[in-house]
Amino acid sequence: MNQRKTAEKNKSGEKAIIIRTIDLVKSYGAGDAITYALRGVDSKIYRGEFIAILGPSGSGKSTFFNMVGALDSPSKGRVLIDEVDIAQLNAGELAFLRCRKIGYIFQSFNLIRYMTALENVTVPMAFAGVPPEEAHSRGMELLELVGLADRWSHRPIEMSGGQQQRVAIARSLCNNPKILLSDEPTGNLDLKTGGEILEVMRKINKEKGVTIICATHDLRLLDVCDRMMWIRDGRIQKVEDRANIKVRVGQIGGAK
Amino acid sequence: MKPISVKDQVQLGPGRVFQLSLAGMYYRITGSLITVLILSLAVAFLSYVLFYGVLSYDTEYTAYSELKKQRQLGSWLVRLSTTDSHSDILRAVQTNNTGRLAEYQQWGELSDTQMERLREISKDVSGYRAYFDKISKTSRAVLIADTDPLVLAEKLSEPNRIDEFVERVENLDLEPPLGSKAELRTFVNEQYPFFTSITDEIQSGQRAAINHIREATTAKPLHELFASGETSFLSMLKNSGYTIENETYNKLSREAQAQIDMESIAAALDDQRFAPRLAREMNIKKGALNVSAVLRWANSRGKVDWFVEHANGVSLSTDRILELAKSFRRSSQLQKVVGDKIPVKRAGIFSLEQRTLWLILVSFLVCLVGITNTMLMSVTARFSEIATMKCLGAMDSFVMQLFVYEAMSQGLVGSALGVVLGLLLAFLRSTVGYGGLVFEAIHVGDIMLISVISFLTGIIIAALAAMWPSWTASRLAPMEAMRVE
Repeated sequence: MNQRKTAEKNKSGEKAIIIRTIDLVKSYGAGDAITYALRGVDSKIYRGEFIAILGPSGSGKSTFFNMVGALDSPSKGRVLIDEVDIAQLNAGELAFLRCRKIGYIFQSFNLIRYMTALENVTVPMAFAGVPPEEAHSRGMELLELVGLADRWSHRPIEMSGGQQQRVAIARSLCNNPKILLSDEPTGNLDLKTGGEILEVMRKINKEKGVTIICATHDLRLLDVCDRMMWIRDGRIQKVEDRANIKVRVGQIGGAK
Repeated sequence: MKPISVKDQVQLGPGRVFQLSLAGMYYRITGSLITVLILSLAVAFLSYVLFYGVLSYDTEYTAYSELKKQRQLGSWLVRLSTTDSHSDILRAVQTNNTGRLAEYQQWGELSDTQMERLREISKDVSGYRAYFDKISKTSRAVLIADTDPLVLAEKLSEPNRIDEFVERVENLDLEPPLGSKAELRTFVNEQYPFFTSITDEIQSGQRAAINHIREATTAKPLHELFASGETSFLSMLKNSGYTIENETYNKLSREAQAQIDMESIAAALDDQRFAPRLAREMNIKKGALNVSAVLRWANSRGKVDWFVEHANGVSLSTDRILELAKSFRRSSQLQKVVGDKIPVKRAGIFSLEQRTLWLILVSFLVCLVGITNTMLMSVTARFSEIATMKCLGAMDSFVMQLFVYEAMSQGLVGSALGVVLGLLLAFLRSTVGYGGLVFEAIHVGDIMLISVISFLTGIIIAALAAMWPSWTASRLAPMEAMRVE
């Protein structure tokens, strides 16, 4: 309760914080064989911003991402979502959080193969206990939003990668999440489709005010995001506002 | 903007989970069918063994009872010519054969209290005899060789023999019969003499009855007397103390008549001119010609007409021979089913050999492993799907239910198929072995019971096999979904 109140107070300050990590450490193995994926990460993510997390493979980017998304628990340190320590939540509350407050978009789309586009979109609503009729109409609205209303009855195998990713985005939005986590959303897509997906994400961020955290290698994302965070060797290398960075876009998506 | 408030996740209803489970199975139809197949084979094996056990047992027992009813004449002829032995009397007391006991009471002129005493002492006598059946063959050889234990009891009543005997028993590291030396002494000196005195009374009474019947019938052969079916003979039996129902008497008459008729057929076969002709007619070698062969061959009116016309000295009608042939075929069919076994009444549906029970157990273990394996495959193949569902807010219990329902519905279908398959196989085998007799001896209740038991066992096995894989699936970390395949 006290934590809630602190959150309210912060709102009156310059920017409200939605996720905070305090000295986040994640290690695998023990003794001599111990490997650190994260070596103490302190970060703040603000409400309604679009933050890109950049870093080479093996930098701890995905691990950080999993911690923030309440998919994994840290070895040391804390993750506070809206000033609530997720380590204190029980299994049911974690499921509730994943179901309604956080939306996930995966690099490999992860649609359920035997379900149609519409059924895939309605799965999280079923978990949230939304009545089927309501879930159906909301699902259609979301498919409309991502431009796939006419393909609602198609199964993932009958759709292109871009279309599948758009279904996944619709699915991630169906319980009106506050946070959208996406791990390399454009990783499996060609340049053009990837661009379209980024456009959809930007629209969601601006129109719905959803906080978007996006791990990526795709430099075009820099155009879309508000802030960038570089992770290297399990530590934050630097954090920059988009405004302070100059980006020149080249011919084939290459940039400096 | 509202702050994030966290509550407990709602649980999904079983209907919705089942729907999702069905969709998942439909997607992996081959794997599901393999599970169904494995399970149905295991259940088919169990139900087949039980079904066949019950069917063959009942068929044999029914055949045996029918044969026993058909063949009572022999034992009656024995009982009308010699007295019942000690063992016969003991058995009658033990099985509480009221008919026999009434006979004994009359022959021995025993009072009700004496009968009661006989009952009590019979227990000790049986216990004494059972002692010698229980000890090892070598010990038995050392103690009494091949003689009846009752003969030994006779000898032990001589002075000092008991001490000597008990010493020998103790040298063999055994307890004396009836528990202690004192008990044995009372038995030998009091109970056993009473038993023999009573049985002697009974036997002398029976001997008198036998002699009376012989004199009254001028020593006419007994089976002819039975064949006559006269009520005077029946009342003579009753008056001499034998317990015999009118119905039994009629049956015995028919059996005796059949025996006499078969003898007359046998006599015709001795005719040196007729026998070769008959053998040619029957298309068999002359050496193989006998009454059984004739009765087996005589299955149509034409054949029997020919036989009656050509055979000398057979005064039987065609209908009578056909009737004899029919009952002969029936009894030889029964005899073939029974063989030289003496079936006793079945205790339940699990009256199986130890070996068979082991086989069933092993088949279930194999089935358990097989299903667990296919279920694990199903879980592994759906790793990313399960993890995704967990990212989307699925609870552990939901995932667990998903797989348990999957296994249960596969168990349902597999068990049902298995029971049907087992029943078919059991009927097929027993019909091949016993012919139409199987259908005369079916216990519908037991068949139903076995079906239900096999069916439930199948479902339980499926549920057990699903436990570990479901648990593995439910504990899967949601971040598995993030892995790129």
